[in-house]
Amino acid sequence: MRIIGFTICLFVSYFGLFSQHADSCSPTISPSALSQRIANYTFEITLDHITHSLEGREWIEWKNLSSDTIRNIRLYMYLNAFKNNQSSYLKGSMMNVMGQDLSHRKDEDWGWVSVVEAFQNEKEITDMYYVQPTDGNPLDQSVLEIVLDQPILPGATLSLDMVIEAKLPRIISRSGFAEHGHHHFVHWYPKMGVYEQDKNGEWGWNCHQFLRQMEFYGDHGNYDVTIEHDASLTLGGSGCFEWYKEPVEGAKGRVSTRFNADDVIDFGWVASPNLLVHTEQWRHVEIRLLYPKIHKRLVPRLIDAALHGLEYMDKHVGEYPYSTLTILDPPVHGLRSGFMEYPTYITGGSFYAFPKGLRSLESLIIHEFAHQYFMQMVANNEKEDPWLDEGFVTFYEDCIMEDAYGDASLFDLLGYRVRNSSFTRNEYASLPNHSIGPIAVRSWDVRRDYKGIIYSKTATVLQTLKRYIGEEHFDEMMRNYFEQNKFAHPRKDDFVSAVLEEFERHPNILTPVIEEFLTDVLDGTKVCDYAVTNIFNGRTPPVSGLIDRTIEYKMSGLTSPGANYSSVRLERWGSLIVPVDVRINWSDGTVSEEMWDGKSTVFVMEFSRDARIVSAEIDPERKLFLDIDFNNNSISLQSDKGGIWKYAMRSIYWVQNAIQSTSFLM
Amino acid sequence: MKSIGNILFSGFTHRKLITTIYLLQFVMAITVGLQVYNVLDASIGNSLSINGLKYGNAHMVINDLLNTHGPSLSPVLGQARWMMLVYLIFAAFIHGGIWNSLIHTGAENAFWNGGATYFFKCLGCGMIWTFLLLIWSAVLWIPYISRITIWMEQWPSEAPILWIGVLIFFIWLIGVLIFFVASCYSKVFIIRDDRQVLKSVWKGLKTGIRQTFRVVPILLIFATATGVLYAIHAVIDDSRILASTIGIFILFFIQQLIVWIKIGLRISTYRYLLHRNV
Ligand SMILES: [Zn+2]
Repeated sequence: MRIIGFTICLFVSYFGLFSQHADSCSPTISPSALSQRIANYTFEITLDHITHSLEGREWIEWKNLSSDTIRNIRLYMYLNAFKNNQSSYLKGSMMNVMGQDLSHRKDEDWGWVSVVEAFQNEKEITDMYYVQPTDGNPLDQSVLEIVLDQPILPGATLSLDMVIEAKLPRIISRSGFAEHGHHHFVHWYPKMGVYEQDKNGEWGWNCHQFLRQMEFYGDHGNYDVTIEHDASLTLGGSGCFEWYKEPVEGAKGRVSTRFNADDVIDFGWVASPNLLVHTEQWRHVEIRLLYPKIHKRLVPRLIDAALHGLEYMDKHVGEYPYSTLTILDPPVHGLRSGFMEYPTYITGGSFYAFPKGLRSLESLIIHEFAHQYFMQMVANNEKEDPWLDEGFVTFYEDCIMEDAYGDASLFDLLGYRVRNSSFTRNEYASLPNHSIGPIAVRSWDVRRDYKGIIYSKTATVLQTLKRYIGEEHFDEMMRNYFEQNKFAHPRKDDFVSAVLEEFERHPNILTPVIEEFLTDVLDGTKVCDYAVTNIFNGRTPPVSGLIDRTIEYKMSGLTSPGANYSSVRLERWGSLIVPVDVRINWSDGTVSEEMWDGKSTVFVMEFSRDARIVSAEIDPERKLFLDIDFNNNSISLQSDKGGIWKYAMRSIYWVQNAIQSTSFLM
Repeated sequence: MKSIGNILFSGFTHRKLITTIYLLQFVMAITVGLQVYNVLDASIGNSLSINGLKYGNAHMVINDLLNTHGPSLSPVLGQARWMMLVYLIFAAFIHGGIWNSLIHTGAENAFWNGGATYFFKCLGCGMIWTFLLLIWSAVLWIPYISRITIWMEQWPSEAPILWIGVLIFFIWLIGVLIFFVASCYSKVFIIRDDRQVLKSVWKGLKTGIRQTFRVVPILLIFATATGVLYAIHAVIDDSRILASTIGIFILFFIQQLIVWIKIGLRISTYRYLLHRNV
């Protein structure tokens, strides 16, 4: 079920419709603070869209919640990743960065951010320098350390007043400018690192340099951002906004837009001419979609996806407390600013005439929306625990898509149908090496197959948990995890304890080994593959000689030699141990359900019954979604080969067609 | 003037010819089909998951099969590719036979004699036309494809990129039609007028350019008829009604009928071109 609110279509830029000084906005529905509001920012900046640069002031109010006296602070300066080819982000790969050749880049196409002046309590700070805590690359300028004039005592607040300048690069990834005036501002300002306790309980700055495969990490806080800009630009971004015409007297053609975003970890925005705006209301949330005119026919699809996302996450995980959700569907020349999540602001990626049955467009919007829960509200460290958001979000993307679009949720084109979860599972199952690395690792430690492990394997683990414990209890578990960790920075143990708690509360066959299972799937590289390898029906063989000790037998009422005897041979081909259900179909039409703890490498189930075994199947309900091959999960002695005939006949038909079509000139 | 129906079905009077060609194609295709059957049967033939293959597209079954048994499927693909190449050469024989049967109607063993007599000439002629088609395709598509990413970064909208592609496709298609008509006539000149390959190709090209625009409506009707056959197949292949074991064999019969009709339509096209008396 989805709720369709009232629709206002604005086919002209919003500047044309409102008069000066709109009402002030409230970015959340909560009258009180949702988070601890540790890092708070106020900006007054001027955008020059001709030179793709901005300058102005940034005020930071930062609360010291540690027991330390802080003398130095660290700021992310991530725009400097695009300052030159020696940054840690770009180093060593000039030829192909996100499909772009950077070897002939013009000087004006690079970008940077700098702190021109900084004041603490009106006293200028002069001692600041770049540091390289992550990889030691001395030429990288993505982290700035400032030596404070006055130390910040425990519980006290730092007030920092800075003059900043930034110049956007031609977009390499996410942040930058593109042709036709498209400007995308993300990780664009000096931003506080996180002062926190590490795994050993030591306090310190968690402020990594910007490396490839790495996303973001920051504290929650409030953003008050005033941007003076050319009136021809349409703006959108995190939080809600109000705008003012002619902010400076005589500044013809200039306007000012003021954004407010509360209890968020970051602030991103877009400024682009030629974007149209469509708004839609879902309960307390105003969805604001910015899109190029040529994508007008895609608007209902994009909005529909967002509504499904809001509806599902509200029902299954928790409340979306913000009053806005802004979606950018970028124009083709600004496509590099797409495919990403920022607080209450997400960017998609679509094309004119995108086929209806190809729902990667909807899937993408839903994925980025789900990030509002995992990385934005539940703000895990995306650098050190990327699986805690990307994997979770991929899982919810699949759930929402299947809930909204049914069996053929991802593709429904020319008779080809694919479910999201089946696609995700295959991204993991099709890896050439399933043991390439564990899930719970730092982003820069993943050598290859990042998507298959961090996104897809994690989502497949969650599917497995959900299928073992059932949807109702799984939802309860995730609601608890969300409630306990929202507006905080959870780590692996927080998730693990939420799972353990729920599996204790609602025991199932996975409960006895749940702790081991989580360690194996999160920190280990064990592979899961169970198989039925033989079915035997006959007479009891006389027991004599030595029985192989590695083979475990389940003797179920064996009688004397010569009695009816049936057996099923089950094998564990991977090293991951998980209890599984076994279903056996008998010739008299009865079905027996057995359970196997899955521990031994070979397990023979033996029976003495009048009927014969017709088929046997491990995990018939596909609870163990991590199993990399379902085809070997069963054996049937009376298998219906119709399906195989169908594919053989199809291949005959297509070979006939192919030879007919290719030989038309001969 | 003949009605469209007459033109469309004129080739079906050559039922023996159609069936001969059909059987030749079937023999080649069935070797691949049986291989597919054997590989599937050997790898997942006893699994309950093969039931999923009967209904629509069983993404999970197919992917698990490819992940686990991918290497055992690659010889089948290799064989299919090899088969296509062999058929391309063999098609020169078949076309020699078809045109001989159409030109010398009533002659004894016209198909087999024509195939044997004109094989090398038809092969040479076919290779020239295939080569020309490759050049034509490269000239049109390579500049377009190599610019797509640059245009995406520079142009205000992607719509023109798509429409330019559509335009190029139609220009390319006109070229393909000309080559097709020209290749047909060059074979007529070889078999009817006993001309040399290069001279036939040259005269065929001139005739093709002159004739193609006149025969386009009829060629479009033939193309539409083929398209309708494909559409019928897509619908029944997808339907759950034919998912039972008997249904699957009915589907196979329909597939083979479609293949047979397509050969008939091809012969109708050739007859139509031949009887324009050029
Ligand atoms: Zn993501």
